Amino acid sequence: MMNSTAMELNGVCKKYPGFTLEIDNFSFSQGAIMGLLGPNGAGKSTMIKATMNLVRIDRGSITLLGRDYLREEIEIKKQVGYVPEECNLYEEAAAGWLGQFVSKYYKDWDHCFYHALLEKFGVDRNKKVKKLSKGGKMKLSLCLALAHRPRLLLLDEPTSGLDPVVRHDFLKELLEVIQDESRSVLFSSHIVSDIEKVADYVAFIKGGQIALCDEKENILDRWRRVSFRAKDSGALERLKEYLAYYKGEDQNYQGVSGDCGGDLQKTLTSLGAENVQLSPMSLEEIMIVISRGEV
Amino acid sequence: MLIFLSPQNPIPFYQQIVEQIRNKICSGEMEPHEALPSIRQLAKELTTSVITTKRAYEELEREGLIYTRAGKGSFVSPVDKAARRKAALNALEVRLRGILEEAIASGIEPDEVKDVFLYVLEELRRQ
Repeated sequence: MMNSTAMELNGVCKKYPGFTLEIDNFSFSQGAIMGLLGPNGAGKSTMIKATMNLVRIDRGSITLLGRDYLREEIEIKKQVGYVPEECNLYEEAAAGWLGQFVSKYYKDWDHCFYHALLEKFGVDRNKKVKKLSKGGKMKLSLCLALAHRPRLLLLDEPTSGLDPVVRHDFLKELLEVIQDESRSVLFSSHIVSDIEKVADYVAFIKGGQIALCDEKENILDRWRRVSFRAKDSGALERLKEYLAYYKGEDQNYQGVSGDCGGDLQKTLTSLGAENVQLSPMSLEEIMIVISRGEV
Repeated sequence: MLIFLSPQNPIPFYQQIVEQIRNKICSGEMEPHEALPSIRQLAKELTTSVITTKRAYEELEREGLIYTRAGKGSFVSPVDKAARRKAALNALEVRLRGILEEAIASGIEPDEVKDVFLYVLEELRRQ
């Protein structure tokens, strides 16, 4: 089971007026945390909803935990914990009652664990949902999703609305989940630093498509800010191949390369660049460059 | 095992882990055959990703400082004094390379580098 996939999307397409979600190929292995990044409206929530069959895709295939998401939908959903972006819990109910209610749907529900989670995240089990803060509602949703120890956790913007201390506890909880190598997490976030901290894989969605998806360490290894001098246009023409984006004036150029596999410095110099300087980039910088499509 | 990761440090997290564990092994703070935490435990302790701790352990394994038994975990290799010294020297070389590359890029001449290097070394020796 070690190398089986937690989630796999192939040729998935969903057309809306003015927006198309198109995921050719996306997967990550069990025992890992996948971080989904992207600007507002890029398709993060649509993609997550599609895997939960809350958005019906036009074509393509989706497997969760190695099983077809439609043919074995009920079986799969017993093993999945999903927290949507919008809280849609009964406003009049309190955490204690909601736990009882939700527990009926999951044979693996663990009441002790549920109450321990409420305690850990400081959720008052007697307070009605409508009286909880935005962060409080999110924490309650997380407890409800975690209490049946799902093998796959799907979290849509779970950390927005949480203060830094609770965000830290929450990230620790995700790492606790994957202490078991057969369990996996996918979470989307605007907060790049949260993903940079704990994600093993990072996918970046832009305009309904996956613009970048790799092991986090590979992304950080490969992307570099580059500055150099190129005296003739022929040299620039050759160098372009190694630059995702660049700009420049007076023979001085700044760019970004996603190609720092071998010795980029030597490669660029041999192609006619002078004064080549490389500096590492944070995930946030890489994401901004890719979103903007310019340096 | 106490390890500190600093986000302000420009050295990547996995390398920070490698350096600190290497120091613990080379200084004898960690004994031969002592068990290391699992990559998942360590990731949780440090609130970092599993892939980061995994990479750190792979690097330490490549350096011969730790060994891994399938299903049992990772342990400190029984390295002798000479091997420890070699590992420490290798680590020094890697770090110096980074610093010297920067120095050369900012236009400092090799002789000047040498002067600064010897000056700092002499100062440290006097302390």
